[in-house]
Formats: sequence, structure tokens, C-alpha cells
Amino acid sequence: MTSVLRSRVLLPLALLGVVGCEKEEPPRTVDIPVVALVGAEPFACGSTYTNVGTSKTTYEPMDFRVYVHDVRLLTTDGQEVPVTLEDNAWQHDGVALLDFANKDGLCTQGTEGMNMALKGTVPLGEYAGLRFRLGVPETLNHGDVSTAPAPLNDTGLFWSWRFGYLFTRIEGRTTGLPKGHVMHLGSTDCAPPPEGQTTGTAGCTNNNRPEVRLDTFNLETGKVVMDLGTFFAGSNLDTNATGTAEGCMSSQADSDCAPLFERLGLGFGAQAANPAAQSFIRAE
Amino acid sequence: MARRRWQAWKSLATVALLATGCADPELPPDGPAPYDWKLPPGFPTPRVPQDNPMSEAKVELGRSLFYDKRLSLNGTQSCGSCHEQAKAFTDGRVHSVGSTGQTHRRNGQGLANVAYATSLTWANPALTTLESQVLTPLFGTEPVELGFADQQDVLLDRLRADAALSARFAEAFPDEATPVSLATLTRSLSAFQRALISGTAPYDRYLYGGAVEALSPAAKRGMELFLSERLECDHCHSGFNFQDATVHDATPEPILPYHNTGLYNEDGQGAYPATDPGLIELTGRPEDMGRFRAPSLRNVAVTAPYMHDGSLETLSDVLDHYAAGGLARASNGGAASPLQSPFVRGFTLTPGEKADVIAFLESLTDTEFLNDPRFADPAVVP
Repeated sequence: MTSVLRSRVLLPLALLGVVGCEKEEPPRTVDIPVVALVGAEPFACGSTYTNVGTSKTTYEPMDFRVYVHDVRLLTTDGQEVPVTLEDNAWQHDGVALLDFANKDGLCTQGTEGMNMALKGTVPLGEYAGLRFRLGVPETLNHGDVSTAPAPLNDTGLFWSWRFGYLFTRIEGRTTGLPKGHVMHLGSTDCAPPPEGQTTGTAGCTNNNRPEVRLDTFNLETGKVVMDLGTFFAGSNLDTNATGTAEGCMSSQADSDCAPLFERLGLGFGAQAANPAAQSFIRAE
Repeated sequence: MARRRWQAWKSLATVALLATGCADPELPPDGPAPYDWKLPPGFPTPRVPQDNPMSEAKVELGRSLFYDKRLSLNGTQSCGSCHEQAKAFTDGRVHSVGSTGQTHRRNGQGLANVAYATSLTWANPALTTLESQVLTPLFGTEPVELGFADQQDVLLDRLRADAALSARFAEAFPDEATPVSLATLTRSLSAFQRALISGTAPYDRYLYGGAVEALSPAAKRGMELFLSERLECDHCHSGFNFQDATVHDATPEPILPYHNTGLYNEDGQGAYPATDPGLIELTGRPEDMGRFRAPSLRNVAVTAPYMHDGSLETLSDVLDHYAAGGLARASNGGAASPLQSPFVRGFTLTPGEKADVIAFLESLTDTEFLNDPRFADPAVVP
């Protein structure tokens, strides 16, 4: 990991060398709030939500964690500019873990601590939009969770049998599924490691890294909203397709995934990917 | 890192030197002794991940942990609960049962020579190292095995609270700032499993030890049948480890073969039961329906029951399955599954020949391995 840190330090120096005596513009710091809602109400462990999904069920949170990466800002003339995420306990190598769950109520998993912001720097400029992807990039997704730094070190966010991370871990108790409805997004149908490697993958058929485009976003006053109300709007959270995970664990054989993937803008079975249909996450 | 990599190179070089009969080269004063695999004749050096070189301290620590019931959340099971040495590290059950009583859909596999396996478990091409595989029993929820899902800190705090055990971690992992971690736990367990090498069965004594009498006349006849074109057994159960999915230190390109043996064909198109369709579950490729990894046949006489779902009780039943060209033919008017391996064609054996094949398979039982004190529970055999 030191090599990454070193490159972080050396890169600006190298740039300085290139630009010679010109003064380098200090980059602009960004701190983008990300909030979780269930419809009109703020998400919180220990709360109970009503009228969720097509069966208007009751939903009691058990977990709500989401990885994001590839964060970009959109200039007023439509150019994408990468945000350099700072490395801290919640962010590493361009990946951030958003964690809306403490230990209250039924949320017994994960950490007491929560993380509801994306922090980093961008070059000075006029920005009007925000884009990012859900999940962990493939280069980091199939590594060794036992040696990875935070926030990639939690075995509760790692599918050991699929050997990759859970991009979302959203779980809650409903009237019909008292053990909990789960929404685990992750890459599936992954090939063995490429030749000459003992870990990683030669590629996955279903990468499942939804692109989120918030093309009207005010960097001064805006916030990202992750809304379980809109995410579950097409799902019956009281029933479960026979012989499948309770909820959706990204299996192409699980019909419960279809409405959820649709709201993530992802392809599912015969349903083509459509990033414009993404309705889980919006800007406010 | 650099130092560790050098140590790995050093131990490899030493093994090579030992093999060629040279004297041990000088070791740096602070360097650990290179690991002595005690490889049986004809056995290649196992492949070892660069970040987990073998050492005696690591293997011994892994051995203690392997038999330690603190490695299950409720303290009722250790790794050894489902992997008993006397049964070549299987459990004798049709389906293994986890610490909370949940039943696994699959038959627990043995650990003899697992160091040479290209991939781990019945049908998972993603699990190519023991270090990655061990996360599943520790943290898996479908089914729950050792039960530490979302309780990683409980596990580590429990181990750290034992001062003597922590000291052994520090000894086995001298370069680690945090001696007791998930990484050192998985690495020590993996090092112990790599040490579980079985290669002193009667068959080995016959083949490499010049012990002509080690194999009975029946076993010798059975060996000829096993290797024959009529039976085709050795296509999947090939090489020194009787397993095609075998890798070692000098393997240029490891292979990950999986096979459909025609055990099931539920729809005439080759479908396996939805509860366990095999490799297709992880690859999504239709041709992977019903494909599983061929297990090593070493110690196979003590690892009953057989197949991925434990559905065949005896070696005789397994031979009947292959003699029929796949058991599912019976329910499909004698037709083979369109997905089954071309090597599962069927054959006819006389009762005498069948007994010979079983006698040969029994000659792969390595009594020394099954009783080796180095692999036993240290609480029982210090």
C-alpha cells in the first residue's frame, strides 16, 4: 500500500516539474453530503417505516451500506473531471463506503460509526453535475479482504464464495419476511483468475456497477439522496420467489431482483441496461 | 515484504538443493529454517502463495487453531469437527452440519494433499487459494458453518485474549505489527492444511519404494482396470494425486477442469436438481450445468459417502454409477445426459473385476497419514 501513498505524494511533485516555475493552482476541496431516506423520512436504525413497496409493508432497517467509486464532477460545458478522494478510514484508492447504519434497533452488523459524505479534491472550475458508480472497481473487487485496508476490510461486506465485495448491503425486517429482506448487489458469473494469477478474475459476465448521473448538482448546497422508498417502489417486500435468497442477492435466476435492478438502471435477464431509469439515487 | 519474498526464494532454493543432495547453504543468522515438507518420493513441491511462505511455527500454530473450538462463535465446533484425521479429514456424513445445526447441501471434502488442488471446494473456480477458501467456513451464512458472519471482532478479540496463543502468533509472524489478525489466522490455517501430505500408501510403496508385495494381486489387477481405456477412470483421477485439477510449484499453467458425470438428468436436457446445479451457479454458463471438480482418490476408502451430495454410500455404488454410464440414464430410457463427460460411457465389470478395482482403491489408503501425530489434535497428541 505504501507504493500507492508514495505515488500520491510524487505525482504532484512530478507535475510541478513539468510546469516548471508556474505556480500550481491549489485544488478545491469537496465535501459532498450523502443522505439516506425512506420516502419522506430520514433513514435511521431503530425507526420503523410504513407503506414501503407494492404491498405497503412495514420496514425495520437491519443494515444500509453502499460502496461508490469513480466519482466525477461535470463542468458547465459537460466535461467530466475526476474527484480525487482522500484516503481515510472510509475511503481508499478512489473507493468510498457510505454507511448509514449505527448499532441501534435491529442494526447489529457492521460498525457503530457512520459515514455520510464523499471527501476529496478537484481542480478549480465551474461544476454543475456529479457522477459516480456504485460498487468496488474490478481491480480491487477480487483481492484479499483479510489484508485490505479500510473500508475494504469488512468480511461482512465480502462474499467469500463469490470472492468479491457486496456493493450494497441493504437489509430490513418486513411483515412478510421477518428474517429480513436483503438487497445485496455484486458482480456475478465471474471467470477464474487470468493466466499466471492465483487471485482476481478474468472478468465477470454481470459487473453490476450502476452508473449514477446527477447532471444537475450544486456543489455548494447540493446533497446526494439515497431513497429506499423509490428503490423499493416496484418490489413486494413481503414475498420471496421460491428457492431464492430472501430478497435479492444479484442472482440472474431470482425474479425478485428484476424491479430492483431496473431502478438501478442495470440490465437483468432480457431487460436491457438503462442508466436513465436509475431512480434509487437523486440530487437535492 | 522484500525480506519475506527472499525467504520464500531461499526455502525453494534449499528444497532444490536438498533434492540434488547438496549441503544446506548458510542461512542468515536471524532467518528461520527453511520448511521441510517431508515430501514422499515422486511428489512435487507444492505451490505456496508468495505472501505466506511455509514455516514450522506457522504450521504448528495452524494445527492448534484447526482443532480449536473457539473458531466457532458458539464454541461447539472446530475445523476438525468436520475434518477428522482418521477419515482423511472428512466427517463420514452425507451432508456436513455446521455449529448452529444447519445442514450443508454438500458432502464435506477431505484435506489430504489439498496443497496440490488447483481450486478448492466442489465447484468454485474463484477459490484458488486456501487463504481465500477459509473465509467461507468462518463467515459463510448459507449455510452457517463456524458462524462468525459480522462477528469478526469477536473472533479476533477471543484469540487476542489468550496471551500464550498471541505469543505463538507473534513467533509465527515476526514481521507483522498486529500478530493476531484475520490475515495471520487464515495464513496459519492454510499453512497447516498445506502440510497435510499423503503419499505413503501401499500404492506408493509399490510404485516408488520397490515394495513389490505392497499391492495384493487383486489390487494390481484393479490398477490395470483403473488405468484401462475400458473404464477411463484416470482421465479425471489422474497423476500422482489421482486428481486432474492438480497444481504444483512447477506447473506452467494450472487447469480448472470440472465434469458432469450424468448423476442427474431431471429434464432430459441434463438439468441437475435446482438445490445444487454445480458450477453453473457461479459461472452462469449453460454448459457448466452439473459440473463439479473431480476429487483426489487418495484415502478414498475412508471418505464415504461419495459424490458432491453424498448420495452414493459405498465404492461399489460409485462403480455402479460409472458402469451405468451415469445413474440418470435409468430414468431417461437409457439415454446419456447431453451434458455429461464423454469419458462417462459405461462399462461392464464381472463381480471379480469390481472387487479388484475396489482392492486397488483401498491400496490408496495411507495409514501412516491417518495416524500421523504431526496432524493430530495437539490437545490429544502433543
